[in-house]
Amino acid sequence: MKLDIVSMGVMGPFGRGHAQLAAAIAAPVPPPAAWSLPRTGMIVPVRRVEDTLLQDPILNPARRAGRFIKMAMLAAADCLRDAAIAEPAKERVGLVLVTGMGAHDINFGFVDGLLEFGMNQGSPTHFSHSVHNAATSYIAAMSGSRGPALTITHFASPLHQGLDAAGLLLAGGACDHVMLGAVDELGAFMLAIYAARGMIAGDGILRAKALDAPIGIVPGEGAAFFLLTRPGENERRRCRIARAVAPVHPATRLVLDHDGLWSRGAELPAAARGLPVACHNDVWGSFPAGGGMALAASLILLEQTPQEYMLLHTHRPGVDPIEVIA
Amino acid sequence: MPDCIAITGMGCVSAAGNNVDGHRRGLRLRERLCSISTTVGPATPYPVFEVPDPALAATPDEMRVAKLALKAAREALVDAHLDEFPPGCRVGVFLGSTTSCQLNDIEFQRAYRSSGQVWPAPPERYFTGHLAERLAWQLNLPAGPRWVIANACASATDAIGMAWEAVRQELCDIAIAGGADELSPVSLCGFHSLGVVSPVPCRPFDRDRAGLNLGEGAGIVVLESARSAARRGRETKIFVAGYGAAGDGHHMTAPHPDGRGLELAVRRALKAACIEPADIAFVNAHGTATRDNDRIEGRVLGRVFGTGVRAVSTKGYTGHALGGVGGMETIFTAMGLAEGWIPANIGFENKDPDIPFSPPTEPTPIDGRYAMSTSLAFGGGNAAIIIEHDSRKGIPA
Repeated sequence: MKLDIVSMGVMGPFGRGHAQLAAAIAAPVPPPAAWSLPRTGMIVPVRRVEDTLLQDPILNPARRAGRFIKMAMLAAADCLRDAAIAEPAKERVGLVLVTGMGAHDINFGFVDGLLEFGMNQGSPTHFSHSVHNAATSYIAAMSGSRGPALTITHFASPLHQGLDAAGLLLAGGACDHVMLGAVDELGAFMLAIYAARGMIAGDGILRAKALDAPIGIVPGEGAAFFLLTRPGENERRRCRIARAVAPVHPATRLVLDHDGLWSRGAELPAAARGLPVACHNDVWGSFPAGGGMALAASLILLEQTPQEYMLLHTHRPGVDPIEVIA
Repeated sequence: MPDCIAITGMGCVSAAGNNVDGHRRGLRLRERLCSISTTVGPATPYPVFEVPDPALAATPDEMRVAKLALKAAREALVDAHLDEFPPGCRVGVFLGSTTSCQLNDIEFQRAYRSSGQVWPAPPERYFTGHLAERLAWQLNLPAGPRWVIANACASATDAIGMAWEAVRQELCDIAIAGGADELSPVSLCGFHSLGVVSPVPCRPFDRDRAGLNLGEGAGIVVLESARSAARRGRETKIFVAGYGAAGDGHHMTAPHPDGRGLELAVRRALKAACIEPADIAFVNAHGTATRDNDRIEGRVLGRVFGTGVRAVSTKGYTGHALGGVGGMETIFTAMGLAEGWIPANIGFENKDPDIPFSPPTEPTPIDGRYAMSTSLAFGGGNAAIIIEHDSRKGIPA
């Protein structure tokens, strides 16, 4: 599978936009924020998107939505603006959104409402915004896309499932571009679950390069969107990605996507051993769809050193490396 | 790219039947097996379609939805004569679901709210319960894609459509595709909050319809190229011929007033199958029995296929099993096409002047090579899949 990336939109704990992510991966990583869990008062380290970033006129139609949908819409809007797709072509844009847990915080909020006010008193707003595909609905309305819209869930490697889906839609001719988004959000109840399961790095340090470190995540959140097309079909292409590469070009840098969870028994693929390593998961924290951020970081590194090749290795079960070339 | 993708196995479980044969019988006899729920959902009792099998109750290590999916998948694999897989065979799992994607456990959340305690079992069940991964693990399947598509009520139709693409484009050799969902108090309370749950058994396309009834179950098919089936000596007569999907881009809960996305999805499926509307013998419609869905879907079907369209909703037998229902309805479409009949649209009595056709009120003979199943989802997702019956294709070499 080969796909061209035409444009990108990102938002995360580092801010919103390509330049903010580029600056964050070039600078020392600031300490994580502290989140006090309700009911227990336990403090956990997190990488959270600033609330002020979720205020934008683009979000007016989604004012009742939660963080998940808002982050997705903003990153998708930036991605589309960057691509400058002409109006008639929008009908041929498909959407694929991948996530680990979707809009779980508003879903827990819906159940909270049932427990608080009674089973007959559920909030229709919470319910309608808790379904996994609510974000693609808003993005389709915002963007004018009339292509297929898929929301795919996976805990370990959602980015790879999404790339496969985009590849199928493009190769099958269902659409001419696919906007692929990788999104997850933070929420208090899920943090309490992580904490109770002993998943969180108590010292707030994500040992992203230490493949043999014990499990220790710093929960994060964010959204990364990419406009993809078939190879050679859009002259604005920023890079080309391909799965299952071998042999590796001598000027390759390994971009490791390692979020502190999928670390036990880790080994790099043979093709990646001995390569210089870049790993920036501590910029955006740990979340299932964080592979999207690692892909975005690969693009930025590639733009800074276009003579190099990037090999994105998502250190999660059952996935091949992704080669990113200019 | 192989162009003939066959359905070589089918498995189904819902309130209407415990397997495909059970559904055939239930649909022929016009059996409506809903019950009034007193344990699920809001204080007001509503009719629901519950699978009456105690073996399917959720356990600490397995979600009910996973048990439903597993039961249907096992039946499909037996039907496909796939008790083992050829060496090197890549087996994909493509499932639609909504309830398996969320950690919906009211008692778990109540305990946390009251004491700050996090019970260990529900999160463990959730994090190890990714439906496609779980099914593959339980069935010891060879490696391949593992997708769960969470597209609300169109999830399973999209899953089968994408599995069809995956086999065509050789992302995998065999696909286990469909969907599953369980009755959930959270879903029932949610649909109740939207005011779309009927207090009486549902009446799809009827003038006096009053909303949907929730159901549960799973419908799963085995897809492979006709060549692959022939290599295994498996005769194939039923194929997936086309798939189309489109977003309304209109509103979070309401379909586009002109059915813009549905019409695009239907026309894209016809184009993918290289056929014309007149080639479609019947449509297994989404037909949820909500005021909006049936009016808009009915108008689109009338516009594309003409007012003489043979369209039937089977929600009156199964209830609305959300992310799983598209799998069941693909199976009903294949079964009807192969056997030359469609079931009665149970619950329909009076024609709605806003809908340009009347569905059948008795089991009705049909004759044709192609049929379509449509799904409309919350959030404006629309999907259509075309099934082909052709006894001349796919005869073992």
